[in-house]
Amino acid sequence: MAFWLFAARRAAHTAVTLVLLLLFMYVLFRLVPGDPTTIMLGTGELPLEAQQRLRELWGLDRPQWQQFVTYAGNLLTGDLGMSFYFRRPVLEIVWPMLLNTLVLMTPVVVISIVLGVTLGTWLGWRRGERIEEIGAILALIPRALPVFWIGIVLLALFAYELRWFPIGGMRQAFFFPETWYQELPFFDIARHLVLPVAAGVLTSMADPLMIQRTALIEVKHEDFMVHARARGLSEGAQRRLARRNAFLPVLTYSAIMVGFAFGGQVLLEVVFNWPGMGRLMVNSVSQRDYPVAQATFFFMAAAVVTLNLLVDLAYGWLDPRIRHE
Amino acid sequence: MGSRNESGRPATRDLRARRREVLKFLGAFGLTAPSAALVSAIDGALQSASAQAAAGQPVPRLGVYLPNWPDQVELWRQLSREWQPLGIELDLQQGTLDTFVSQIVAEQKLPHMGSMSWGGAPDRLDPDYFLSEMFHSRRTARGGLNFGFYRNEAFDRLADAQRSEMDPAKRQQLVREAQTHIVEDSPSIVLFHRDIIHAYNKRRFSGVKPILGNGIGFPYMPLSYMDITPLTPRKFMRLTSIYDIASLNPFLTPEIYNSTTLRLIYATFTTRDEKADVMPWALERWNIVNPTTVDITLRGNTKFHDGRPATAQDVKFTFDFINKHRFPALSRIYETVESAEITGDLTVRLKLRTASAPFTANVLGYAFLAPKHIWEAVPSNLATPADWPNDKPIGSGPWKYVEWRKGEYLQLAANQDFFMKPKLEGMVVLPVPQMESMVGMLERGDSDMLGWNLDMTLGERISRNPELEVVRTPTHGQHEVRLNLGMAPTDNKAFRRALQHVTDRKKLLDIIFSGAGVVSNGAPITPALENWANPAISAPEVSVDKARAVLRDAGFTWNAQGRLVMPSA
Amino acid sequence: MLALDDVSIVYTTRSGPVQAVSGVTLSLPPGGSLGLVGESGCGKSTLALAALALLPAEARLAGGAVRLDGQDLAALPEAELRKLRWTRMAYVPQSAQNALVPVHSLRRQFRDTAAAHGMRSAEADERAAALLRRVELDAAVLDRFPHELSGGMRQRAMIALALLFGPSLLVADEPTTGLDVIVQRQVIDLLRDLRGEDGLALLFISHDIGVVAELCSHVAVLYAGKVMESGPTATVFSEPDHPYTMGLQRAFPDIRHPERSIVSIAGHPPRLSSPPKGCPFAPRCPFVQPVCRDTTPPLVAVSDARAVACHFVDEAAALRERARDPALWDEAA
Repeated sequence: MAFWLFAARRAAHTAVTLVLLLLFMYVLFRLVPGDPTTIMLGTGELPLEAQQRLRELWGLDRPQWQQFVTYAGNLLTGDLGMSFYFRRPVLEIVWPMLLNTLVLMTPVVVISIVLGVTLGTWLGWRRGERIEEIGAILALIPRALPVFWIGIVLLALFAYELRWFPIGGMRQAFFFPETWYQELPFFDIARHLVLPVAAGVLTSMADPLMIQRTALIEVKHEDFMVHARARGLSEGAQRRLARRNAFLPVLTYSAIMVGFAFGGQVLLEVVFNWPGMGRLMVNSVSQRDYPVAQATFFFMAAAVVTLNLLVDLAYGWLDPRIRHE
Repeated sequence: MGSRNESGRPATRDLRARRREVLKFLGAFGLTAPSAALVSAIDGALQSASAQAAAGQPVPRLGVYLPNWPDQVELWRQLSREWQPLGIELDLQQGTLDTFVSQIVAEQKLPHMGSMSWGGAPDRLDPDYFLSEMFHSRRTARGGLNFGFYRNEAFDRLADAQRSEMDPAKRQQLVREAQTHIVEDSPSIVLFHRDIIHAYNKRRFSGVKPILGNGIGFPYMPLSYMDITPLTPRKFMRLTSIYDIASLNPFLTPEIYNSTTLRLIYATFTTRDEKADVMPWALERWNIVNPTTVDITLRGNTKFHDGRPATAQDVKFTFDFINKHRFPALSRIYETVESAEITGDLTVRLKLRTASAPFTANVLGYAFLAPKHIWEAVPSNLATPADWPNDKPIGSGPWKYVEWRKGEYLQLAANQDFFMKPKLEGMVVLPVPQMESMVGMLERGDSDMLGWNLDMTLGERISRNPELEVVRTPTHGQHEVRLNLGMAPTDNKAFRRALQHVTDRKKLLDIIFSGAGVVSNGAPITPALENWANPAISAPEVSVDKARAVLRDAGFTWNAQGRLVMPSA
Repeated sequence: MLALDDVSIVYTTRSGPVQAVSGVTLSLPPGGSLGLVGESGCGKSTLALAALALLPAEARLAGGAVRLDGQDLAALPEAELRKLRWTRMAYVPQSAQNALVPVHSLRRQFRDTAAAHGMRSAEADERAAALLRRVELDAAVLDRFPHELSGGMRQRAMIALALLFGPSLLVADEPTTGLDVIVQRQVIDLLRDLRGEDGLALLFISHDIGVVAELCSHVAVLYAGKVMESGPTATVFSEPDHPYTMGLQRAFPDIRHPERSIVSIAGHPPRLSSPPKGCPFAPRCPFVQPVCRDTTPPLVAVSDARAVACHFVDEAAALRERARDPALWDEAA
């Protein structure tokens, strides 16, 4: 019972957070100088009179509070508004990009966490040995490098020199399979995924790895680990026990990582020409396409907040010591 | 109490300070970091500039805005060095295109000077753009491109006169004379006109046609793709561009890449030929009856992509539709054309509001033929038909729409009913936001033509590949340093002239773009546009001595440290 | 059964090696019970771990040997040791709170332990239920998590777990720490009942000599990693020969002499990273003589069963007399 009460309260908090977030972003984006029409006015493609006309058409000439009331009203009916840049409903713009981003980021996040936890456990278990020091440094190197740079190196090596993989994009326009395996469904997307996922994993893996390693080192010194050894548990069983008990910090981090994955990774998307949320987000901000910018940030924030909620709820199950009061 | 007054408008300053905080916060997301820095830098520069440049005082540090692009950064590295002998110091502030538009054009916050490069959009081929838009005093209003506040009545008169002069020879005279004012008054240091460098795969395609101001890969001028001939069994060409289109509705966007790409589907009434002269396109001919009356004749047997014939009805509908809905993106059309009247099956008489010399190029070359039967059926519940998705664009142009996957590709098929038949069966335009990938794709053979500006280094690398051909095309686009005539010392003509004398345009072009381009003669019209350039003018001679002499004659002096000192009152 | 022969243990720390145990010789016969007493930091827990071959990575057996039924544990490979653990020797650590896996139910912990030695889950469950009853717990606690049990229940569950394979040696390291008096009593009673059952030998570690006196037939008093005095519990505590034992004895209430005031031995045990020269207890010993600071007294047998490491073992009776004065301990420095 206490759990459901706790869950309900946390869910309510989450909902309030999201509403505040929407308000905050609404105000925030409008504090940036210029509006969607100034960007078009830009390099002289739109004369002033036309800009004024555009403002009227798009309702940007109305007082801010009126614009907000309209926006909030539409929001209540699930309408996120119209994109200024694309002149299509925001969801129509955001959905395909979100899907593309998830196609890219799901393997990145899953592999990063699985590899990070596995290697982090392994390194933490080998604490104090030479191999652990080398491993930790090796894991940190790609993290210190810009993903942009890693991407270019991977492209130069595997796409440009060796020609194993395409140079970018998500699909090849007009891909004609030549052999049986190329006819497999998703073959084309899969081969386009390899390099960006590799670049993403190389840079994203280090955090879960180091977190897991640190947590494992702490757990290793717990009394119950000595006791487990005394009970004659095999080394593998001991390591699994340590991993299980060191899992909470990395789980918390993973929630955030998954949440941010909804926002895509701009640089990764630029280097590998992946049509995803990151680029949409950056472009919509620089184009002052408020509705799209708000929606993209909101989706990301909502994912982060919701996943945090889920993790909070899962804590009690993963660690029975935690009680919901 | 007294100190409160010094700050001027405390409320405004608070707001600004707060805005800066917000921008900083946004900057944490990596989104607007440069603009946040720039906003405060510009605010600061504006406050200090007017206070410092007092008579008899050393010239203050000159505020310079520059976009954060590599060529611009290199430009100012050179200029800082070259201008040093005059005893002036520069305070460089980098920004994005975004901050340029919002701060300098919209908010009119140009510091002492700012550099910019203007691309070769097709409408800018007409001299009216670089003269009137940039230097007419009318354009000093907020949002105008005369953001350096140049005002010269004599120039204004010439700029106005050339705009309504329908006789080409007389107009040429006026345009050339107007340019002498720009060179004399130096409101801008026009540097050079950088060549467009494109590349394509010559083993696979031939018949590539470079067009002045367009190169071979840009969609600005549809003629450039018409003669491209496949040399291999694959009959469609893959073209890469840094941009993607945002919409399929031709009435919506004023953005150059999107609007010109859609005009491959929607034929404009006129277009430009290889020498950038205006030629009929959807039209068979036009006839200027008088300065405000133009008769236009549609080509016979024109069909829309859905097979319906195009007639004068559609032409009239197009202009009426634009006038009725006043699409902001097409303002130059509804502001020029008053009415359209059917005079035959294929002929329409256009009444203009005012005489407009750029009419055939910039209005008929920008307006496109819209099928009446489609657009009159657009749902009326939209605020404007420009908001209609137009998912299956039907035009009468040389290319038919097949498919658009946002961020992935736009596929077009040849329209064999067009009067000039494309030799390709189709084109696929691939947006690739990163130059390295674009070059890599061309080198690997994943694309056939690179439709974005290369620099010389990449151009040379590509030209070593035996399959690839690099094509350099002159353009009317330009790099310039705009001077702010609204504040000292750039309001001083002698000071501006002196800067011209220490600016070695040839050397800058060589260093920044390996010489690939045309050096400016000081006027904003490229010498490559022989029709409009004034052969009698030339940029001031490069000479430090001359520059110092000009300054000395105007009463400037130098102090013991070598700093330039303002003339005493 | 268990024999420690001249065992020395060194910890490698950042500030250098620390000699935690030096030259300790002890033996525990099958079914016997041996208590290790001393202040915290005297090396008794390290000895317990050494007896189980569970020394942490930073500790190393620097000399001597630990033998279980004559088998040198240091000579066995880890795989062999793993087989010995829990089947032959089990362990009840200080704090059941921390020693039970917090995220697993007790059943899971019984089963995991069983599985490590090839016992099937069903059998493990059966054994667990029986053992829990033996320690007077309801078998239902098997499905509880450690945090759901009281301290006393946890400690008894811990003992039940230790008995899973009917080991011949049980090492209990301060198993009553942190428990309230009544619960302490239950645990001690339980251990007392178990001791000797099926030949179970008990190595009991505590700082509380009262408890040791109750549970163990023999005792060894440790100070600064060395045995100060050893022998049958009854005689060691009734007639201590070593000044440290005398102090220690006075530091606990004695129900036989409730009128005696409790003393505390002034000063602190020496830092083992830089042990003093001579007798390690010399800096705190109220009877210290110059020779004590100079020469380390060897552990010498004073009778068949007893051994003492003190230069003045011959004057023990006189010293015991003087040690009755509480003021003596407070003055010492």
